[in-house]
Amino acid sequence: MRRKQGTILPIELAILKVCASRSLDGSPECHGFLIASLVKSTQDAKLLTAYGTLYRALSRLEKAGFVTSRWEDASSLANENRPRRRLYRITNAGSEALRVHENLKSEPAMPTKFVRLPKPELA
Amino acid sequence: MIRLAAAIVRCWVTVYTAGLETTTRERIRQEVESDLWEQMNTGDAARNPAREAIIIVLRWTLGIPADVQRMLDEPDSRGVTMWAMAFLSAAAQRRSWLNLLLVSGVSFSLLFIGIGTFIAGVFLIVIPAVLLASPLIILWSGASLGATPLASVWQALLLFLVGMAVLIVLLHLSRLVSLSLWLGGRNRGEQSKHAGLVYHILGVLYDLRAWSSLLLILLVMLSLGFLGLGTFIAAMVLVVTVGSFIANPLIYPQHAVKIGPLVVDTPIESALLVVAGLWLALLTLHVSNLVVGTIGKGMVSIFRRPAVQ
Repeated sequence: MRRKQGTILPIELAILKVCASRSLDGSPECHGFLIASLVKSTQDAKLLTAYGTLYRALSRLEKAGFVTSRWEDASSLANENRPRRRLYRITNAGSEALRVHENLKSEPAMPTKFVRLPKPELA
Repeated sequence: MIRLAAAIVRCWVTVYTAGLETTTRERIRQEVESDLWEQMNTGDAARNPAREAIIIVLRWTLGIPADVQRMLDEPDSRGVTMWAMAFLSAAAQRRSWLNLLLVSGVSFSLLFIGIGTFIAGVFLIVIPAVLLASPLIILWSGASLGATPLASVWQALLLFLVGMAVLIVLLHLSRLVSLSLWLGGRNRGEQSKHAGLVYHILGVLYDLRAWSSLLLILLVMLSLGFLGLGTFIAAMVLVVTVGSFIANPLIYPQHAVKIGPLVVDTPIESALLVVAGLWLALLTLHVSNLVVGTIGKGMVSIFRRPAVQ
């Protein structure tokens, strides 16, 4: 089922939050596994986000312009025997989308229950 | 074990990205490779590799629908043959899973319905037969009905009459079913129109149609038992086969997995078995789609009213 244009899925929101908090901490770039670990710890989940779900969400966020990505420099891998990482960073548009979503969430909702009015006193 | 889990994920990523454009394909493969490396080299993986292998397999399994959806979303995925896309896309459709749930529910319900109908059919045969045979049964010494000993002719006669009444009721019900199902109640017979009540009640004993429909109904009731049992066994065999194929990476290091002459004892064989299990699961989804679709179309054509001229 295709989602509506402009909506942000919960997993995408969680990724944006993680990237935003990393940006505030001064290390704005993070790779896929780190994002999955941080999402797991922030959401107090039992399992890391699935590969397909995580990278599809990142791909969507990048297409929407909410994150940018680049391959890690080969020079930084000289001493480490590991595969290259794809590093993601939240953009201004992503931060703005996150802020708008947070504002929407903090707005007081309409009362969903009927309020029982006091009975009028008989004269 | 953790290496095997990673091999399965790599195998899947290689398969599902095969038809994508080169840049996209390489990017996905390298990203997943990097993720796997990071997970395999964490402290948790060193402490408890079996647990981490299970997590890898779960992360892979839970992400399959998203992988398939991503493959379909990619504009450059035209290189994949159409049948393969259609085959894999069943896993990403909610309708397929609902159909599978429906078919599984019906398969399991059929067991209970079938067994219940079978038992009822047996009772419908045995009870009148025993009651009608009571005059013969009484000839044996020591014959009894529950705790009551059958000794007198009157008792046997009473039981015979009860048996006859049960048989007549069954024949009437069968005729009613046959008339309402096949003949629409229009061919009730001109001769019975002016006959008395006794003829209406006892005449059914001479009605060949009532006898044939009773036999047919009993046959259907007994057959439903075998149908329900067969469907249930088929569903269970399928579930166990698919489950054991997909879960074999968790089983084979401890216990030898044998499928006929094939013994699964290498990671490659295990990975192939997982792929076979997934293929079988996808095939099951397609078959359930086909079954529900065909039955749905049949129901629509039955209940659709003819167009007014």
